[in-house]
Amino acid sequence: MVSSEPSQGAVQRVAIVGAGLAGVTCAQALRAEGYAGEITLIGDEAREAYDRPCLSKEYLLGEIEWPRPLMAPGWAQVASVQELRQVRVTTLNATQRTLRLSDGHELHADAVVLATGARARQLCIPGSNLPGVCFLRTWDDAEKLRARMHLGCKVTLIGGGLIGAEVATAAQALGCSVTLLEAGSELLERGLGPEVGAFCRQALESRGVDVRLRAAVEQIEGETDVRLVRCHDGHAIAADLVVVCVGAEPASDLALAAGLDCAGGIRVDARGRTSVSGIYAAGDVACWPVAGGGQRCLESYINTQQQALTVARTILNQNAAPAEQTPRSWTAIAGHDIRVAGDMSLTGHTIFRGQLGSGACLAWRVNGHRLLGVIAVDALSEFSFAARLVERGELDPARLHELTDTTMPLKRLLTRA
Amino acid sequence: MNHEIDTMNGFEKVCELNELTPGEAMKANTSVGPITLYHLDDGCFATQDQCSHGQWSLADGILEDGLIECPLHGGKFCVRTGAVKAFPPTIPLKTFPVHVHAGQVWVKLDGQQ
Repeated sequence: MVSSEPSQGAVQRVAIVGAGLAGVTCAQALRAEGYAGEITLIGDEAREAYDRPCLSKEYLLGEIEWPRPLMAPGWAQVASVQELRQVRVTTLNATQRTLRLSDGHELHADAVVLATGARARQLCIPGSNLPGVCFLRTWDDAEKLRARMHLGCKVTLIGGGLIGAEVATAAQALGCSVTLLEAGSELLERGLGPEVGAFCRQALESRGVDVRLRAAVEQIEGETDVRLVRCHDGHAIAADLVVVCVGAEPASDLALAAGLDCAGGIRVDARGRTSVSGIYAAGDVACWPVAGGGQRCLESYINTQQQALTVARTILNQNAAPAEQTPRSWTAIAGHDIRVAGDMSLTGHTIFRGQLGSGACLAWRVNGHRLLGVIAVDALSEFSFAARLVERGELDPARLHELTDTTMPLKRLLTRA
Repeated sequence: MNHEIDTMNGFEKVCELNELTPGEAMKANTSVGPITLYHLDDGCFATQDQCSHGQWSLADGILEDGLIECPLHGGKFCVRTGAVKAFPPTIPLKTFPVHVHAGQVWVKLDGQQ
């Protein structure tokens, strides 16, 4: 692993595969850190890099005409970044760090950053290829959904995770008749825990969304287009549009074929280094060490940026600070602003600051001396401080009551610690 | 609110220095609306109050290493220059010259620094 390590200062050519948030941030960070060598940014989409989180929210609702671009026009030229659009990397020779491109060119680099992202997980059931079965991952996907979600349209969502709940919110607001099918016993349970999951379900239901738990989908039926979704228990739900929201999977094919260590994403250390020297990964494709232990793909906007920055620094200095990640994300479901830091699914118990359903509320995940996670429901002004407390992770059990005491400003807890 | 304005050079008194906790951000009202003030080791700085991306007060964010992080989506700005340091914002913040004199914080609100 050490034999072909490019020595510090020797990096003159960086190739970044994937021009989404991770790729663009990495290119930008390399320049911000003073790197003056070549940067080639290779992306398979025709469009300039755009902001993705709005696709399932403002864009779907028609509140914005197009997703915001990540960068000002012409930034690549200003930053001397060679942008290749609509180009795929077909093969990567990891030890030589040579990339073969779909346009026939070949590229050699001293450092390769894999920022290939994730794709929507497919559903392998009969009827999943019917035209009215959609996903939501890209701008094109969102455009297609927006065109179909007209007043009175019967929309059936398969999967009650974040995307499912966000799309349900938007579809309901657009006047669609919405059914949300979740295989588990509660919506959003994995990410938000059972209490906040139940709260979100009730909020969706009060808006008229038909939520069905423990609903195992057996097949999608229709002749030329989707007509209904049939569950294991025989129930049939009429549908003009089916949105499959069963999660994402890392786009790690290139890395796998190149022989990199992959298991649920490209495995990296806390500096973003893969199993092969000179090859790095960041963003949704990277299975990155998490502060609470273990490693996984985080699929989070804020963590993606932190990872891309860490990779840029590591490329320039192999001893740059490692950055274990505290997961951070936000969502908007049925009119509620929800933000998460840390991991609510870790072993422990949940304590509340405020009450769900009556104004600002924080749900803390605690275990002995460890503060594992927090969810802020309609508590935006407290979230930054709550998230920072979770990042610190240390908890004095004698002061546990302060977390739930709404008269004790979190800002004070943070500055005192 | 009564704002003292020094008409000689356009600076306006916005608060007392002891109202600003070192290392923290604070929202302050001015004759032209709210701004956010930052008390750093090397002095006080001022920017527009709202993030240039979402609609939220940056005074609710965390101030660290001279960067303010917006609580909405984690966007970061340099409070000295207003420059964007982390997405999703792409537009820099307006910054305002700050002058501390005799324990009072004065800000020039008409011009970008």
